[in-house]
Amino acid sequence: MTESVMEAAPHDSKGRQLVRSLFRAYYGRSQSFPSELVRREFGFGFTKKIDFRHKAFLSQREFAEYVQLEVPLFMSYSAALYEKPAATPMNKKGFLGADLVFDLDTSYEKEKHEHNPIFCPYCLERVKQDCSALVERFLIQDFGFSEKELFVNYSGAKGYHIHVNSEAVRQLSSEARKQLLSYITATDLNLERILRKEFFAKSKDSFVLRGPSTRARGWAKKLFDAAYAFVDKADLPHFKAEGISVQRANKIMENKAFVLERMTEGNWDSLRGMEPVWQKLLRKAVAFHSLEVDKAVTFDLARLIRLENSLHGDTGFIAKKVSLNDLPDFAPQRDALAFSPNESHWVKSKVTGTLEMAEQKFELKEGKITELPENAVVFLLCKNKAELK
Amino acid sequence: MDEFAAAYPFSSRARELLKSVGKEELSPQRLRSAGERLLDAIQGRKPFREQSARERVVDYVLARILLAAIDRPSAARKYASSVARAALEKIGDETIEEQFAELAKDFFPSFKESDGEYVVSLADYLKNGSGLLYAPLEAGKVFFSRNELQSLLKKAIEARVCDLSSISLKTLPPFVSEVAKEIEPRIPREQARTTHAGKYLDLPCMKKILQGMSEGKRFYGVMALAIACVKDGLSKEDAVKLVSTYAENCSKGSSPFTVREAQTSVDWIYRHPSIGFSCNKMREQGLPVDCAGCSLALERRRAK
Repeated sequence: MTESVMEAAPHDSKGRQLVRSLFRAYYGRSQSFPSELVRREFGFGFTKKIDFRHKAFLSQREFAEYVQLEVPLFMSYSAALYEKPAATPMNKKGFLGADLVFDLDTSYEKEKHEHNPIFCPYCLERVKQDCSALVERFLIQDFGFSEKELFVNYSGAKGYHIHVNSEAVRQLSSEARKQLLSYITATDLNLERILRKEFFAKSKDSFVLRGPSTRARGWAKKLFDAAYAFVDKADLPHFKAEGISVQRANKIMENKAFVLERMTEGNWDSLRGMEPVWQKLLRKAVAFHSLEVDKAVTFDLARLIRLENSLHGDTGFIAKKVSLNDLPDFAPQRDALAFSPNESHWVKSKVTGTLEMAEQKFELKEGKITELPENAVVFLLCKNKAELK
Repeated sequence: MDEFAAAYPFSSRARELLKSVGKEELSPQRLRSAGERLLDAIQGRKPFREQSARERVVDYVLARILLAAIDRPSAARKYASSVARAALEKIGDETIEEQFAELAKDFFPSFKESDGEYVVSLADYLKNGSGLLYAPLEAGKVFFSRNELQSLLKKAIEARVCDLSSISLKTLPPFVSEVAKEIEPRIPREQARTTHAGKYLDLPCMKKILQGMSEGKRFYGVMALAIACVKDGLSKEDAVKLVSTYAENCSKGSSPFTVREAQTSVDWIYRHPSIGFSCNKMREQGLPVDCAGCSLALERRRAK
């Protein structure tokens, strides 16, 4: 989540009134509270994501009343717990610990697809895939968290937040959290430390290539599994696609059983001159397994994060809490809608394009007045891409 | 006094026992003798005479008080390294499995031995460990051989001994700073040298920068050093060591230039290794560029 200053949306006063009244009605029927609310710091936004922070509440009721009265467009709370959450400056709050939160919002605009600049389900689907990969490959498989300790939250706009609610992580320092990020992103992973040259004489060619074996763990295991599976399954076109010569590919395929057996023992040198092949395969495996994460959200212990099930003032979508089981089928344009599908309003579009929402497609044309369902209207008003008529 | 606590004065068990040590231990004379032992430890000398277990633990406490008053991170690091080395030598020499396990549990409460491997939880590892990227990690546990765990333990001990943040100098009597002033000049200064020095780090300007820069030039100084480290192919760990010494040598000014700030610059430069080494940029920022006798300047003149 970036906290860049955003223009207040919607801009026209009628639109603003409608959005405010719909937000108020939503909070009247649906309120969500973070765990240990009295120990959290809150931040609210009326013109941008966070206009002010250092706000605290003594009870859920007080919080609910505040939201009903003020109707903020954005609501965030601290991943950290404090003795005095409203105290300023930060060092007076009395830090007690912080949940571990990951924010995924990679832009896939440049990936090959028909990108929709108004609202792109493809890009959101790709971020959701990253989210599943983070949960399965890293948080559960490597870091050992249980499903019960995790919850996923759609951000309400372009990304997903993953919260780890576990006593074991609350006291992790910012530095320790950076280590987790370094593991997930693998930006500093040096393949020469995974695939080492063990010299047995002084000459520069007198080495054996040692790599991970079946006993490997962590990144070494991920890379071993990837390389092993490739050698085991690949045929000539696969080798060619990786830029490996036909001659070398044939040699590997002819000696497949021998190569694989040696690999399981950590000897990656069963055929001479394989180093460039491994380097290529391993680099690809790193790119496949690693994930891009908005790091500051994880390591900045003073960070505020969107409140689950609150509305996002930039889209009108619910920042919906999604169970891990429901995640594969979750589609924000269908499942994060807050308003009535039966109500509609007339708007004048400021853009030309298509808006996909609630299994429907709406064709928009700049300057054209159209009747749209409430969810689409709120979305366009919040994005300042339409005005109410 | 408990022998375990005396052998490992940084352990939680020692901390418990120290509660019985009164303020009467803190006298100028006692502090001076602890200072002598601190110097012995830093310079790798064995203590002149055998000490009782109690003396050893009290010495440790007083040494850390002195280090806090001296406020020189390199001295604290050297002392911590000496304490950690002594602890691990003891474990290694005597192969006291019980002590090893107790010590490991003190730093890694989740420590377990299983099928000839040592296991600690990820949370414990992160609280005490170094990098996670190459760690043998599986299902929230990190696995080690005996040697690997020992070296991890060494780092954890060093970090604990080095952490002087719990010592409040304001609550200590004035003679503490007087004794610290007597001891401080006798602690050898860390030479800003690296065995990996190369073409760039050997330049006269780099050597001058290493001696420390004044406020306003400290940041550019560390950036220049970090770039030189990258160009000379130093590992990031070695670069961090080098700039840590630099940070200590820099003038304190209105606010000190911290080791952490220096490390952040190294992190950034190592993430952007293509940044070039520019004498002009250094000159612009007021760093001491001296082309006379500079091999790089000569090389560039020849190339032209």
